[in-house]
Amino acid sequence: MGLILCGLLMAVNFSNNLIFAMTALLLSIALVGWYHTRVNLSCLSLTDWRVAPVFAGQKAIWRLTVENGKQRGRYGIRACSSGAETDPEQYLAAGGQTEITLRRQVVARGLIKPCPADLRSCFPLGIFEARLGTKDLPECLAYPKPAGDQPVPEQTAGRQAHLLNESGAYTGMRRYAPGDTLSRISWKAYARFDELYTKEFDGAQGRPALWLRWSDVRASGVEQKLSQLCRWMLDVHGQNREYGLELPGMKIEPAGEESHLRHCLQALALYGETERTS
Amino acid sequence: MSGYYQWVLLTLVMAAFPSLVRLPLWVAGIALAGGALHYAGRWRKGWYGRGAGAALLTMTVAGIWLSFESWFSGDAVLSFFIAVVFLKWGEARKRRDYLLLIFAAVILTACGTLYWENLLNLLHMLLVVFLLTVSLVAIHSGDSALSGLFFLRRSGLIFALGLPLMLLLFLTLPRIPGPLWDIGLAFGLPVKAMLDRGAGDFGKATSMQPGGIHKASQQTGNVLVAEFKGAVPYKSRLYWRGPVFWEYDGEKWNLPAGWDDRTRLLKRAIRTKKRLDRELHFRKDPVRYTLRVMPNGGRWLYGLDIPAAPAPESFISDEYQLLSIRKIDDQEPKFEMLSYLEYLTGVELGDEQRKRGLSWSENSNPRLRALGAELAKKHKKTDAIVHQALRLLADGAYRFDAGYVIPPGKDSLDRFFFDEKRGGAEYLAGSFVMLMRAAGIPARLVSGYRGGTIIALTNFVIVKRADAHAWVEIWRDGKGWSRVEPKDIILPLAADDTALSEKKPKESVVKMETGREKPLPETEKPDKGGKPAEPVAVKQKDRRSLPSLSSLLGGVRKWVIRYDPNRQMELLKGAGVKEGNWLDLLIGGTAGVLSLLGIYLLAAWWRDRRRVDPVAESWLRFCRRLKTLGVEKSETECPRDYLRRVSRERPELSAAAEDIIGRYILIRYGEECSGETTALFMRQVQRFISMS
Repeated sequence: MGLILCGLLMAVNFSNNLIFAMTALLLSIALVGWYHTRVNLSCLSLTDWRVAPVFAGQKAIWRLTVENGKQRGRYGIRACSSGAETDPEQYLAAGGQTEITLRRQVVARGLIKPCPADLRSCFPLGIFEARLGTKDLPECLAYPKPAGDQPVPEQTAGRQAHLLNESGAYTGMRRYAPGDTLSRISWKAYARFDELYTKEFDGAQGRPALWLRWSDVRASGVEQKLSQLCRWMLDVHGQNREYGLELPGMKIEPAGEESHLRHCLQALALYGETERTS
Repeated sequence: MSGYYQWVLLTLVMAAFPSLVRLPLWVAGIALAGGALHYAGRWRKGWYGRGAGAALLTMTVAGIWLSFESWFSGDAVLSFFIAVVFLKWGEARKRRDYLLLIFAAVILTACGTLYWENLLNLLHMLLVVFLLTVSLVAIHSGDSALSGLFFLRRSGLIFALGLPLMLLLFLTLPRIPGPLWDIGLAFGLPVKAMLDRGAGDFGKATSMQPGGIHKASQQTGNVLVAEFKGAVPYKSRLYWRGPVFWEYDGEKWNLPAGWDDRTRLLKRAIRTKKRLDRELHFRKDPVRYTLRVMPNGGRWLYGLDIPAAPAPESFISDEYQLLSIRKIDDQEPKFEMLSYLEYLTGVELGDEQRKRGLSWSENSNPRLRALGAELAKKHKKTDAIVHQALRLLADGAYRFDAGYVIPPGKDSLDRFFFDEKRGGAEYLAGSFVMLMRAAGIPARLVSGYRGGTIIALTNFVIVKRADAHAWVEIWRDGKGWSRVEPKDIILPLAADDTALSEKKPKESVVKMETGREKPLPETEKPDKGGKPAEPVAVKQKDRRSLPSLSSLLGGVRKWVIRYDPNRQMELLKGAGVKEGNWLDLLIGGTAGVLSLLGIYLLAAWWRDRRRVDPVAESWLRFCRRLKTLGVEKSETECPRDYLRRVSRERPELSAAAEDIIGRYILIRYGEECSGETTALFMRQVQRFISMS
């Protein structure tokens, strides 16, 4: 814009028709480009942002699927949100869809608040920028950073864990349901019946469940303690043992599933948040 | 990083090309070196070559020092600019750097157009802007997998859509005759800010030498700014009255010694309205205006001929000049004024005045004297003599040539009138005055300015020193003094009233003077050289033949390169607008641009609209027809159930409906969607509708 004004002034000053013409041309190209910029982002169908919890120190990644229903390509699309890094610009072919990501470095554990985001594109000329509002980035849990080198205390909870997912004796077959691990699919049956079946086992006897207690952590400071607990939890979970968590003012009974791990990590992440907010 | 940097490079080189050709070779060398740095940096990641860049910059400075006289001559500045831009390119890495380079390319193109104005340059400009569009698209599309062909296609589209808009804008953008500081002047900027003091004493001159007017017209200083109440009269009728000369010494015209004496001037001045009314016994076409006069070191206020109203701190002399009581050295007088464009002044000529008006320096210009005597013998009436003299001028193949100076010496007016037959206003008016005197008619020479520059279709007129002019006043008994303009006899006014060609020396803030004067191409010859290079525009609407290439080029030249405010007005008049002002132009231009954009939007929408599937359309028509026949299909009903219901409720339709619905199901759910089946289905629906 400044350039066009500059050209106009120059044209007037020198009474030079060619500079006039050039200015007029730049101005008209800018006008046409404005329309192209608008069209480039119109009529896109967007999903909601998706995000998975992360550990502090990692990057939270929000993902958004953008679908282009029109018969023209879209160029140079990027997402924008305050404090988030933008990825390189994306190209979206006619009728195609793509995933646009936003990343943000997470420093501390806790809940990352939702914040507004939008899609932007400067294509084709970079003089104007079209914006398309998306839904807000959803809140994201940040677990404490696993740290500390204290060995896991052997505070057994007095009962053996039963590991359903371990392979013990073969018990039977059932229809495949989405979510079953590929390793359990009976490929022979697939070859014979052209349908997917999942093999089932009766599980295995694991080691006794553990108690992970706030009071056992010898680290100084709340965050360090939480980090140590987090480290233990991940280690123990990796060994397929059951464990329970005991924090000041809350107690989670031992279990061993993935959801239990998430539950416990969430408890760690939000430790103290409730008091702070209330 | 995608390959956009190549496009940027192409743009930059193309933009700098005309300048590089014109400037000394070492500039091109520096540019090449910058390119080498750029590629070296690409090969050896992270090497910026700062040292090399600094060395090249010093070389540039040295080159400028060696090849140009001054640090700030246009070429020196341009060379420095080019060198810096290309060195910047040498270290460009990020997208921002490249954008900066693109803007620099635009500036370079504009600089290139300053030197020549011809069609080649126009093409060059179009090419550079196209490349610039390609570069911008390439930079902002953000995907390296896109091909160059795509960039070209997309930019071509934008460019093509932009061209009509450009034409509209180009034709309707209100033209403001430059330079810019004039506008500032008109709207009250102090003149001191833009007037160098050296030019401020032209009002002290007391004589007019041959070629003096031409010298003055080479200067770009301003003389005055007038704001007219209402419409501005034709520029050819604006005579700004300055010194009046009576005495000719055979070489130059002189003002009498001590003419500047204030008391004498005041004693003779026209002080009362009564006297003014008596002296100005015929007047027509009153014009009211506000006058602002630049400091000129003299008393001249240059009232419009003929001033007829009192003004503060000034008076009207007995020669009808508007004079300031104090000399105008640094203040800027500003006052309202009334003038009459048509007038006759003076009641009676005193003996002394008559003697002055007939005075002749002895032994000079004998041939003129003889001619005058002959005229006086042949014709008795003053009017007849004047008419005859003008006839002589008209038939004499005289050429008006402001820059032509006849070698000084004895009888220069004779030589002008009978031998050379070309020269500027002072020769023409001077010889005419002497001719009149020889014929016994008292005459005097009036110098001043004629015309001016109208600013941007407002009511402001700026009179510059380039408008300097001289004309003749003759005395007719019983009528008084009246003006005679020999120039219009020799050089008829052009149709668009541009008697004064405005070939300005190209000067600007950075003094963009071409170091070596290029001969201007034929098209740029100012109109003063006799006939303008092209014929006056004739609307050739009724010609059906294909225009030849040369006439096409001429048209481009006329409408692009020599387009000016007058032509703009002409165009408006052609479009049926009688009185154009710049607001109308702006509104019209905006409306035009908006309507064009609207057309584009419509076209885009038309191309982009959802094409309705013909099968679905036929199916809907079929359902509507059945609804009128009393069987309405509900939203949730599938075709098969619908068919059952139709057969139950209207058995007479069941055969046709079964056929149509069966086909529909096949097309929609049975993957039978070839062209034949759909056509057949549509035909059946058509038949059903027409028969039922």
